[in-house]
Amino acid sequence: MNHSIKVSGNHVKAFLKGKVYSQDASIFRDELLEHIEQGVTEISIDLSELTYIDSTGLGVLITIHKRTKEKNGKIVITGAQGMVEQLFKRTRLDRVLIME
Amino acid sequence: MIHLSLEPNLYLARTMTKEVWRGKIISIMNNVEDHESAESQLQKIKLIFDHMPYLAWLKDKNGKYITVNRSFEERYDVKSTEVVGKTIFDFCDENLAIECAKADTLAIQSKMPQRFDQLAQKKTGGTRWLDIYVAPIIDDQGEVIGTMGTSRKITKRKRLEIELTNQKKFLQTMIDTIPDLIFYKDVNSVFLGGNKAFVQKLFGVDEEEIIGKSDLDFVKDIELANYYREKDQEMFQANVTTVNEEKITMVDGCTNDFETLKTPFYDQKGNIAGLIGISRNISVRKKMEQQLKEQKEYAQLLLRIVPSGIFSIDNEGKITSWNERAAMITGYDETEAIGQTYCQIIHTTEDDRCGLFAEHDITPLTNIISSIKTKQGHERKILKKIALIKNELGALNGIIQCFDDITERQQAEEKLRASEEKFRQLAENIHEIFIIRDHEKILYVSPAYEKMVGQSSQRLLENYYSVFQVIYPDDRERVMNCLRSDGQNMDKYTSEEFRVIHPCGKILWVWFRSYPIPDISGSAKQKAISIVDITDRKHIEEQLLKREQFTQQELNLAARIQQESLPLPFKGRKVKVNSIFKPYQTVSGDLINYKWFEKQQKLRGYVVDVSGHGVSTALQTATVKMLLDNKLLSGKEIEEEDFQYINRRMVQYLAEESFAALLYFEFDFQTMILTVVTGGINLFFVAKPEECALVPVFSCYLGLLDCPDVQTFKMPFQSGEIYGMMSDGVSDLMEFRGLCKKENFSEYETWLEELAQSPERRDDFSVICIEILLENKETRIFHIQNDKELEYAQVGISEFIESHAPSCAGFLEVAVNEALNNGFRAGGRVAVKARKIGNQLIFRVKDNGPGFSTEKINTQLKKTMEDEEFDAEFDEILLAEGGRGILIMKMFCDRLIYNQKGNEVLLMKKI
Repeated sequence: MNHSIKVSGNHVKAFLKGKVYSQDASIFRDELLEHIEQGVTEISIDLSELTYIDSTGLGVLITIHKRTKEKNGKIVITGAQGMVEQLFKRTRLDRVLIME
Repeated sequence: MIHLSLEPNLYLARTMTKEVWRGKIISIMNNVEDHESAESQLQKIKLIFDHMPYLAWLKDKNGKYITVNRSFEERYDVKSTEVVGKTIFDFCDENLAIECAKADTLAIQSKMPQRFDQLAQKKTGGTRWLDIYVAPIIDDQGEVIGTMGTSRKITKRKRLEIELTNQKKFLQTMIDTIPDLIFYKDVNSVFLGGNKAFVQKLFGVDEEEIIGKSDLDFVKDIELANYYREKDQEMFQANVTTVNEEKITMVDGCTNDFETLKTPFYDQKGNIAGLIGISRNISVRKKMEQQLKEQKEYAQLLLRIVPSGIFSIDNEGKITSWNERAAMITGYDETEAIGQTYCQIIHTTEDDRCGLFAEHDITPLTNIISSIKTKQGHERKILKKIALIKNELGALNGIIQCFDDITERQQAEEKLRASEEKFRQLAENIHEIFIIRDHEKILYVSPAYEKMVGQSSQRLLENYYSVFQVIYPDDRERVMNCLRSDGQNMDKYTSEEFRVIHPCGKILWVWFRSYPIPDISGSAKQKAISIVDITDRKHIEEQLLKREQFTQQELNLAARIQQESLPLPFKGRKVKVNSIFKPYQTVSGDLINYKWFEKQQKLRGYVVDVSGHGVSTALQTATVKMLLDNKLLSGKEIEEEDFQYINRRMVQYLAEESFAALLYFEFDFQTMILTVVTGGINLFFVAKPEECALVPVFSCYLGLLDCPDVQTFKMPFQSGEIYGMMSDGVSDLMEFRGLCKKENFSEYETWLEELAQSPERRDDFSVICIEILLENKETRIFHIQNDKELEYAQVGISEFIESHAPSCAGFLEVAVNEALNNGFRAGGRVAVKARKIGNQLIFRVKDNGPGFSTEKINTQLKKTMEDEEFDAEFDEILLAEGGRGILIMKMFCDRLIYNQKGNEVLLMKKI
């Protein structure tokens, strides 16, 4: 996985590229949780270049979603396509997460 | 007690009993001192003696007479009283006396009577035979006290006996001398005797040994012995002389034919007492009879099969035999001819003094030609021979005549003469040289010789080899050898082309041919020679040859281009491909091509066969190849519509009346399915380890119809199988010579190479040989116990799925990784086995964790879930951070099974 996180105030812009396996998802989760702890409430994750994600990755997004919600923040998923987009839909997470 | 060892003769028996007789004798002997009493007794004995009709006497043991009877007295002219004290030497000739004295002595010593016949001298001269009997007189003490004797004249009887004996000896000698086998048997077939020939040659014994025995004692073959016995009894019952032929095996082992004559003989009462048999060896006679019979049959056969008319006539001129050929020539059949005089049957048409018939006093005739009229009135020419039959004395006994119908032959000879004249006219007027020669010289040369060669015919007639002078120097030695050989082999055909130089300097090409002329016997003693000017033809041939060479060069170039356009052999991990391409005539109307598509894991190829052979066909095929390469080997899926497209293009490309047969094949190594689409090529070859066969796929040729019938055929394939995609030039030979199962790909290639060399091959031979190397099975195993190995496994699983199920790779990878993640989290050590079996991917994920209760989840997994049900399930855990893994696995796999412990799961997906 190749990911990057840009922080701007309470806003974080994250990019996920390639494949997100379980161990990648854990690293990504830990980094974002740290930013949330530091006050970030608005998180935007760009999945336009993501080609693979599994339930671990999805679970990380739910965790982030719930944590930001606790902080009255929100998470927005953008650019999901192909198999990734389909997976969000099949697991019904498109109904929970904000997908743009 | 005195014993009288006298055997009382017949006379004594009639006059007194033995005891009385003995008593009187003893009385005389014991009372010799009682003179009166003894004298009285003696007188009584003498009285008895006197009544005997032959000489009788009584002697003491010293041989001195005591008394004699009256016959004795009369014979020797003495009184009985005068003989007392005398011996026999006083009365008889010396020989008789000696023999009688010996008999006395023997009787006294042996105490047994003696009897013998003796020839005695008569006083009056001459001899007579006497039967002399001497008996000892024995007293009670067992001592011999004297002898008593008698002498009877038996001259007549003796002579009869001698005569009888001589007759017997004569008869026996005569019988023994006869070479026939002579034997005598009683009514019970018991041998009474036989001659030497019989007993020695037949049984190898003496006559005494067969007497009292029967055939059963000597003949080893019991059936044969019983046969002899039956024949004996038949004769006895018939009571007549019988004759029968039988085979008899002699003691030396030879078996001969015998004629046995058996005649009964009778006893004094006229009853049959036995038989006399005489067996005569008739083997020689039988052999002669057989030879005679065979000769008769041979003569009959000869008469029937000889191609000449043959008949015989007797002294009276009457026909006695008449063969089929004679009937064919004259029109009279055998029944009409036999018994008729020859002049009634054979009508000569001229004053033929000899005619077909020769007078008896003339000598035999040979090869006389005359004319006859047949029964139908047709005149026929005949060639006749007449032979005379003479008896042992040289007198004429009949005539045999042999004749051939030579009417047609004479006509043919007439025609031949006419033909020869026509030939002469022809030979003298044609431009060809015509020569007739025999083994040594030239017999005829046509006038064209002088014109063509520039030499006189006469010169050639004088010296055949003078022709060498005009032969072109480079050809001279070759032609000399040829002409010499031609002259030495009169029965062989010769053909030779060479050049001659005309005196004007012009060089001519000529064609020399010689033909044997067989005579009637079939052997050739003459030859007909034809020499033709072929200069113009030679020039044309040279031009044609140059053109042919040029054409051949072009063809060779075309063939090389064809060969170079063939695909190279291919060998990949899954498939091996080679091709055999054998044009029937330099270039082929067939072409082949194939290509391996690595990404699609497919082998595609085709075989095309354009009708016809030669350059034009090859050019059409090359054009078609471009079309087919573009259409069939572009990597796209091929359907029947593509063939229809190709057909439409072929109609444009191919010359009128040309057409093509096409076979396209596609081996899909992902699905392990072979697809064959055909248009006109109706067979392909499949060899499995246990059998090989031709698979039919019937369809129509391309290039003929607007919408031909194209067929698509699909079948699974697997590793170890060998396929042959071929033109009909190959499949025809396979059907003709039969399929031959081989052990491996190399052997099949060798077999196909041999098939291409078959003498029956009449077509281009093109075949693509395909060997399936790898089964559609692939397994990868990953062992994971740390993050690095986890990462390696994730990449490997991704590649595995991508290569085998690219269309659903993403979701399936998620499903497998869900299982992997669960196991890794649960136990820390996970083993993943990814397999592709046929069109199915199977993943087995096992961890070393404690597992979980799977009873409930396996029950749920067995159910088929619709999308709505998945939605509902996911909705229930919508905000959960985990718990989606198993649902995702089930959603993206066809089947999901956990083991009972819960530490092992199986994911299956059809691809």
